[in-house]
Amino acid sequence: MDLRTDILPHSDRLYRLALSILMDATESEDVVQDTMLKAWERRAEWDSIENIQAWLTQICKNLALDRKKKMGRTETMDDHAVATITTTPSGDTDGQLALLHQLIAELPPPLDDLIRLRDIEGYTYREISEQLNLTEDQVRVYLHRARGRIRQRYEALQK
Amino acid sequence: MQCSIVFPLVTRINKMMDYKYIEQLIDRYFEGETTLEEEQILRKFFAQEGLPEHLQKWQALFAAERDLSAAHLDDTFHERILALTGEYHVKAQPISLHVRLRPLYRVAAFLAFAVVIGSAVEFSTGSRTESTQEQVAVQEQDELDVDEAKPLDIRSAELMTSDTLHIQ
Repeated sequence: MDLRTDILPHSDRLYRLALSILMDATESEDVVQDTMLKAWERRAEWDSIENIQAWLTQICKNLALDRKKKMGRTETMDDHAVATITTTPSGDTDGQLALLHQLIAELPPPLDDLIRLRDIEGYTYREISEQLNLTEDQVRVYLHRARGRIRQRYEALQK
Repeated sequence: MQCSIVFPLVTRINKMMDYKYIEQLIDRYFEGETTLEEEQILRKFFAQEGLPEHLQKWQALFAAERDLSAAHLDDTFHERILALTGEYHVKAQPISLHVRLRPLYRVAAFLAFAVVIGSAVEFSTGSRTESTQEQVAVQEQDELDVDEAKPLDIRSAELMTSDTLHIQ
């Protein structure tokens, strides 16, 4: 295992994960940097880790959630999200991000991770099943459930 | 005249069929039944302006997915991490024998050049000396030959004349 070839290539994916949790580019970049440094400190473990991608994802997610608590952000951003849906959507990138953030944040685990992996990273069912330790059938069922909730919530925000 | 009526009509029908297809895709998306390619079609479709009102409501959702999918760190991020971990070093490149010997090639070329020039100068100087000596020798031989070639009576006459002059 090597930092350049096995760890750093995950940076962009981790950045998008952090961004979907924090909605802040600078904070998200800091979280990915901290993830990389933490992974480097624990480099002695690399060879014994079965799924390095899942391991990095977990570190990054925990760091992002910790930072979110420190930042004191609340989950309720209905006003921003509603404004995003009702105004011109394609012109308001921050608003769109806030909307998606809220929709994902309201999902329970592992549905939130599943939506991130499928709709942001574009992974196949097989890849998601490997990442989340689920069967492919479970992935299909959970995805159906997650998107159903998103639709329900999205339509509720419109009303 | 007919074309101006028919073409917009065909375009409109095509668009309506497209919208019908998109509506079906949206339903299948929320059922979790779309493929990755179909999900890409939805994101591309909702990147357009001027969509019909009943589809506009989904635009923010798919635009957000598209924007977040495209987000990435700046190009210097990897270098910063490598610097922070002390792993920033230029990887040693294997040097071929040819590259290693290149300075020696230059020295060898210079020496060869010097030898050629030196030889040329030496040859030039040596041949000039030899040719001068040869020229002198040839000249002397020519003079002797000229003397020997004169008729006997002329030579006697010359000798006599010189004797006569000497007596006088």
